[in-house]
Amino acid sequence: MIEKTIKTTQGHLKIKIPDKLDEITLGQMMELQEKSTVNDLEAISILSGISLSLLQNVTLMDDLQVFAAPLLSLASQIKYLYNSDKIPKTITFTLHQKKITVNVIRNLSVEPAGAFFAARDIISDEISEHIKSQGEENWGETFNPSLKACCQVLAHYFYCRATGKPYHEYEAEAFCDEIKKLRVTEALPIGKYFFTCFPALSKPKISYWHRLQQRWRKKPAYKPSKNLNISTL
Amino acid sequence: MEKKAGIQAFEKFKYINTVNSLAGGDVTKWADILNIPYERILTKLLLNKTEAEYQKKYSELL
Repeated sequence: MIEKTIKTTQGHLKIKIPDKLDEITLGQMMELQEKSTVNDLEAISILSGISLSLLQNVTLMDDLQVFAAPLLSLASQIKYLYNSDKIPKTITFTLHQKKITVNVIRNLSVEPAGAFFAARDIISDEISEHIKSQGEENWGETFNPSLKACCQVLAHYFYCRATGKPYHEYEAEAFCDEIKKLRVTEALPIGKYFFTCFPALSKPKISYWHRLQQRWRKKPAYKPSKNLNISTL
Repeated sequence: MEKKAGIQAFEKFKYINTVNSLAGGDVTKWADILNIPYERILTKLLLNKTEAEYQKKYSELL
């Protein structure tokens, strides 16, 4: 982090901005991605969390030059933002002043069904949008999910695990506010993972689903079963 | 035939169509359905499909 206290027309302003990619939150990066062009002052505003109007009160704009080099360095790091596939083992949330750690790497299933359905729709809408604008040919090679879509998918994925509450679609959507606080370098690889494994967002437990499938495969084409309760005879 | 009758009008409801169908049209059961593990839902959908196919074939044989 780079920190500097700068003189303004109304006093002093302490400005602190990240200078490494892993210090930027998903929310900050989403704000940067949503704007087609961002000037230095807007970038400082987003990264410091200080409103643009307050920054415009800075007496000497040259004082902000100290942030120019870190911003340039960040811009070059952002180019490679989508390159990392390293999924973190755990993610820690701070909910109601309590730290909650969620295992990720061993539990990459979007559950329960409500979360699965919602995430599936977000992903398919995002892919359809991409195909509509870029064409269907080799769409997978040019496709990168937007950070907004990743955030929404992660909100559904994490909501029950982090809160311990039953799934609720509106509350899961509102959980985006917590997801935005995650570091972009830890959140994006998880979000990206769900886009790459789509539509298999849920990993069935071997003990149940897999055995059922195997049993079906082994069974002859037709064999009257006493257990099937669907006979109309 | 379903297309002619306007089945595409249901597309905007997305997954709610599935949830509503599994809940037997009872809105008070939607939350329960949404909290079931997905593999159960998948199994149930597969079972419904198999049942429908069986019933169709059976009706054709009669």
